[in-house]
Amino acid sequence: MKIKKSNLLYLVGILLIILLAGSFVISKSENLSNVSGTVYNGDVQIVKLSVQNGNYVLEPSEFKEGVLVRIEADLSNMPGCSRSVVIPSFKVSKTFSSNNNIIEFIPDKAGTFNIVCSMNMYSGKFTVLEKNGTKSDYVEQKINSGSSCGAGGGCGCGG
Amino acid sequence: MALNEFVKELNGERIEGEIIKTLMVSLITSFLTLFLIYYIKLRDMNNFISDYGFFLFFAVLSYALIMPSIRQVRAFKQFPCMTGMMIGMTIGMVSGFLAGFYIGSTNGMFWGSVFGMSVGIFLGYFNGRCCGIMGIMEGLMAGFMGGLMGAMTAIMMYNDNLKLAGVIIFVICSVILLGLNYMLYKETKFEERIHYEDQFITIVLSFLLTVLSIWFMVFGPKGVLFQ
Repeated sequence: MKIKKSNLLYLVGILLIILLAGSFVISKSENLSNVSGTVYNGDVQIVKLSVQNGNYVLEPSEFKEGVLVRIEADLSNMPGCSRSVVIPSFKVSKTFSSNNNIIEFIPDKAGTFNIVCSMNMYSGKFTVLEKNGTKSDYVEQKINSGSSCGAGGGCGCGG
Repeated sequence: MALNEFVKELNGERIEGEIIKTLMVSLITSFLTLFLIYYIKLRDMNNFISDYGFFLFFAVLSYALIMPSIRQVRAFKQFPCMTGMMIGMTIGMVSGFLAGFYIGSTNGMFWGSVFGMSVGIFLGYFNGRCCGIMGIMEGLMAGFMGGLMGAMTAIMMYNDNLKLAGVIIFVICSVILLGLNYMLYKETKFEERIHYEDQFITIVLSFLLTVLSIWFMVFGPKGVLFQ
């Protein structure tokens, strides 16, 4: 098939624009931190995560700033979309599976923060203490859960 | 076969011969706008490209894909009711879904829905009105539903290959829009074009949609997951 010269030029132009813009975007992009698997030296705060009555429960729920936190999820108590966890303040995001149920991150600010599922249906809170062990006044804005999840868990939209 | 004729017409003198040019004009307008705003205002912003670049890139490509269909519809102005319904539904649904998906990925479900519905309803109405109240109604309904669905899908996939889903959805929507171009060609094959125009509408729509998307993603309100 013969392609009109002007159309050929347009096609080349379109490809060039897409390639240039695409490579610019890709070269400057970085992913949301899925920090699990990183090896750290030093102290580790181990936390158990589960779901009770439609809410995330962390035990213990108080960590120290600047010290690595390792959250171990109890998947037997985490139905549906509750396995997809986001901690917005620390840019942590992860979907647990049976052979990968750990999140690790270093809390670099003190205060009370939210932990939610990716659809904002399940939620919970934890506190990061200052380095000297005192409690910060900062409280992250309360999450208004959309809550199509019942108390027993399971989201309305395929959770 | 009509499909071969359609491919040939992409190089012809009819409106289909302007599809590639329209795509090009829209892409140039949108990317120029994007890069100008980036270098003037957003260059110093931390993580702008890593947070929004991917979704803005695909939003701009999506708007460019919608423009040729709009131009095709405007060239003939009037279609039968059933064709009008397909036009309103396809453009409303695809534009609403894509806009909702990309804004939903950066701003959350509520604001993604609001933006997606606004774009979908506007473009659905804008194109469906060629063909009476049925086209308008279908455009409004599809835009409304597509906007909601796009943002909801983005949030549901937030932790599960969201970017890959964005690419797949874009490819599927491209095929659907190409199908619409083909359908319009078949419907108007033996008709004379009644409206001739330059690329003003393409440029204005591309510019507006790009600016609105950038503003919404960067400065607009965000859901709690994205604060």
